[in-house]
Amino acid sequence: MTLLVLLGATAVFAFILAYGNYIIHEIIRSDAETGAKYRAESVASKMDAELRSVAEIAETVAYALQYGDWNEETMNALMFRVVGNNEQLYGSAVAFEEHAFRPELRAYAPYFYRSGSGVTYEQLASSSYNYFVKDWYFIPREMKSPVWSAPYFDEGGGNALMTTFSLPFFDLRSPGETRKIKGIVTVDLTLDGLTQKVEAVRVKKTGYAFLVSDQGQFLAHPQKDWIMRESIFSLAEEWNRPRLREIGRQMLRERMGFLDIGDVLGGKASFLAFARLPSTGWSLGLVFPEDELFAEVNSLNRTIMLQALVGVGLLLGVSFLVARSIARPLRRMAQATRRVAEGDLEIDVTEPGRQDEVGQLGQAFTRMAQDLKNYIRELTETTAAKQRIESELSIAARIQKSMLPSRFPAFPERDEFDIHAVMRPAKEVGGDLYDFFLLDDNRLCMVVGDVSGKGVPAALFMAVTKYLIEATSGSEELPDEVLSRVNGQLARNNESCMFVTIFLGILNLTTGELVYASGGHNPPLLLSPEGEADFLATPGGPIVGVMDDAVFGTDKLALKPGSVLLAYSDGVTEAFSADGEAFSEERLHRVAQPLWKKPVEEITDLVMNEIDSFCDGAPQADDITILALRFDHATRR
Amino acid sequence: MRIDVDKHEAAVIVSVDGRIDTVSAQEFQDKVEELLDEGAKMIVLDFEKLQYVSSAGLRSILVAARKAKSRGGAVSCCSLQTMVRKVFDLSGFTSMITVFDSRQQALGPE
Repeated sequence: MTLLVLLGATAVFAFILAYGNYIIHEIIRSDAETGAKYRAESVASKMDAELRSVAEIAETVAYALQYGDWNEETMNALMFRVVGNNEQLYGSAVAFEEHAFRPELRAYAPYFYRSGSGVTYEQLASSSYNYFVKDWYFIPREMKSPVWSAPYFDEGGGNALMTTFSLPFFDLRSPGETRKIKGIVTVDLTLDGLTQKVEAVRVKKTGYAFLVSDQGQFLAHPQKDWIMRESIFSLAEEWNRPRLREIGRQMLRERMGFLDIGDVLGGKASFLAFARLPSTGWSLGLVFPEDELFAEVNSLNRTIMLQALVGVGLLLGVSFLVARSIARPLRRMAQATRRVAEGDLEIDVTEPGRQDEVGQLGQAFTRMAQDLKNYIRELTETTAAKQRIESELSIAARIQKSMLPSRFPAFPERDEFDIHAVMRPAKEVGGDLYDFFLLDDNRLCMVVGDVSGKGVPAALFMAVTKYLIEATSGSEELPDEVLSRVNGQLARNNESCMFVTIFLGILNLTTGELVYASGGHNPPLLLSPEGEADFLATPGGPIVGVMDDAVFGTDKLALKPGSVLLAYSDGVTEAFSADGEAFSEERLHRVAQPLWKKPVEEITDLVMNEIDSFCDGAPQADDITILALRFDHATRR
Repeated sequence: MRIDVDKHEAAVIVSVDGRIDTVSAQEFQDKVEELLDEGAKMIVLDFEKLQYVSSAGLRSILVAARKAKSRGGAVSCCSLQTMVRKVFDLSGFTSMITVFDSRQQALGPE
C-alpha cells in the first residue's frame, strides 16, 4: 500500500513537472524567437538606412543632372562637393553615354574619390579603360534601373571592401516610353563602417552577428578569413552540410526568420535570427547559442527540479511513515481477526496514545472481542439455563401426565361403561384437565376442565383445581355443590383473575342416570345409539374461580345403553386452520355423529385426527382435550 | 389487533379491531391499564370489530375490570359480534361485566 501511495505521488509530481517545464520552455522559446527576430530586423534596418542614405546622394546628383545644363566646371564642382561633404562616400562618378556629354566626346566619366590629401579627380574615360562594358555601367544601363554591385575589394582604394551603387539618369527630352539614358551616376561606399557595426553587435555571451551578400558571401563575420572568400554555400559544400545550404537559401529568400541551426555553422548548438536589408538584398544574421538563449529556463528548470526532488523526498518520507503507522496496526488487527476466528477472544489491539482513526479502530476491535466473549458466556449460561428449564419442563410434563389418569382401559373390571380420554397440551405443559374416578361402587365421576391460558401457570392452576374437585366431590352430593365449593376456594386470593371452565358429571352405574353441572364450559356432545348427536343443554353457570358468589345448577339425564358422551375443551372447537377458519361445533358434530358404535379409544383418536388434518400446517393454538364415555348397561347383579 | 382510543366526556371508548388471544392479550391489557393510570374512570370496550376472544383475552378483560373497580370506575363492553357473544354467554361474563348493545347505549344520555 505504501508503494502505491508513493508511486501515485511521484507520477503526479513527474507529470506536473514535465508539463510545466514544457510550457515554460515554449513560452521562453517563443519570447526568445520574437526578441531575436526583432533585434535582427532592427540592426538590419539601421544598416539599410545607411545604404539608403548613400543611394539618396546618387539620386540627388542624378536628379540635378537631369535638369539644367552642365559643363565640365560645374560638374566637377558638383562632384567635388558631393564626395567632400559625404564622409561615408569613398568616391563618386558620373559616366555619360556615348557622345551624351559633348557631341565630340565619345566617353566622359569624371570620378572623384577620397584620398590621403583630400578629394582627388580622375577621368575614367581612357584608352585603357572602356567603362561602357564594366558591370557598374553596363548592368544599370541595360536594366534602366539602379543597381547595387556585389561587394569587392578595391585595390586602388587601399584594398577596402566596397560596394557601388549605380543609378541611371535620363535624357528628359526623349519621349517617355523609350527614355534614353544619358549616363550613370555611381557612388562608392566602403563597407568598413558597416562591417564594424556588425561586428560590434553583442549577442548574449558568445553569440555574434554576421552579414552576407545577396549571393550568400560573407561580408562581415567573426571569422575574418571567411569574408569575401567564403559564402554560406561554399561552406555547405566544404563541410558537406546540406542543411547549411538550405539555411542560406532561406536567409536570402525570406524577409525575416528564426531557425534552429544546431551546430551547422560551427560552434555550439545555436539559433539563427536573420533579416534582409531591403535595398541590397543582403541578409543580417544573429547567432544565439542555445544554452545562452535558454539560460533562464534552464536555471528555472534546475530550481524546479531541485524543489521537486526535495518535495518528492519529503512526500516519500511522510507517506512512508504514515503508511507504516497505518499498515502496522492493520496487520496486527488482521492477525487478531484470524485468532478470533479460531476462537481466541483474548485479543488486545488497542494502540495506546493514538486518538486517530487507527486508535479508534483498535479500541473498537478490542471492545468487540470483549463483547463477543461476554455474549458467548451469557449465551452459554442461558443455554444451560434453558436446557435446565427444558429438562425441568419435561419433568413437569411427566408429572402432569401422571396426574391425569392415563391407564387405559381405566376400569377393565367394570363392564357397565368404557372411558377414554386424551389431552394434548399446546406447550410442554397444559392447562386442560380431565379426570375420572369412582366416587363409590356405583358412581363414576368424570371431569373435563380448561384453565385460562396455557403453559406452567395454567398447569399449576389445573393441578390445584383437579385436587380440589377430587376432594370436594367426595363430600358433596350434587355436581353444582361441588362446583360451588371449588369456585369459592379458587376465587379466594385470585389476584391474577385466572379461571377454569369445568364440566362435571356423575354417572349412576346402577340406573344410568347422569347428573351434571357446567361452569362456563363447552356443552358435551351426546351420541345416541340411533346415530343421533346433540349438544347437552347445560344448566348454566359462569367460569369458575372469579366470582366467589357464583351460582351453578345441576341437570339430570337418563342415558340409553350404548350412548356415548363426548366431552371436550375449546381447544377442539377453536382449533384454527392455516387460513384462520375455526374447527367449530358444527364440524365436531358432523365428524362425531357416525362414531357412536366405535370403541371409545377410537372415537378420541379419530376426532383428534380430524382436528390435525383440518389444522394441517397451523401451530396448535390451545390445549386439546377429548373424553369419550360410553354407557353400555346398568350394573348387572 | 389494533386498538383505537376515543376520549368522551362520559367515558373512554376503546375500540378493538381483530383478535384478543394469547399473542395480543398482554398488549390489550397494558393499554387499558395505561388509560386507567392516566385517570380514566369509565371505560367502554367497543367490540364491533372484535372477531375472536380466547380465554387469555377473557382474563385480561377481567383484570382490567377489577382494576377499574378498585379505582371506583367500571369497564363495560358493547357491540359484541356473534362468536364473542357466544363466548361471553357461555362463560357467564355477562354477569361479571355490563354488556351494551351499542356504543350510544354504553355512553348513555349525553
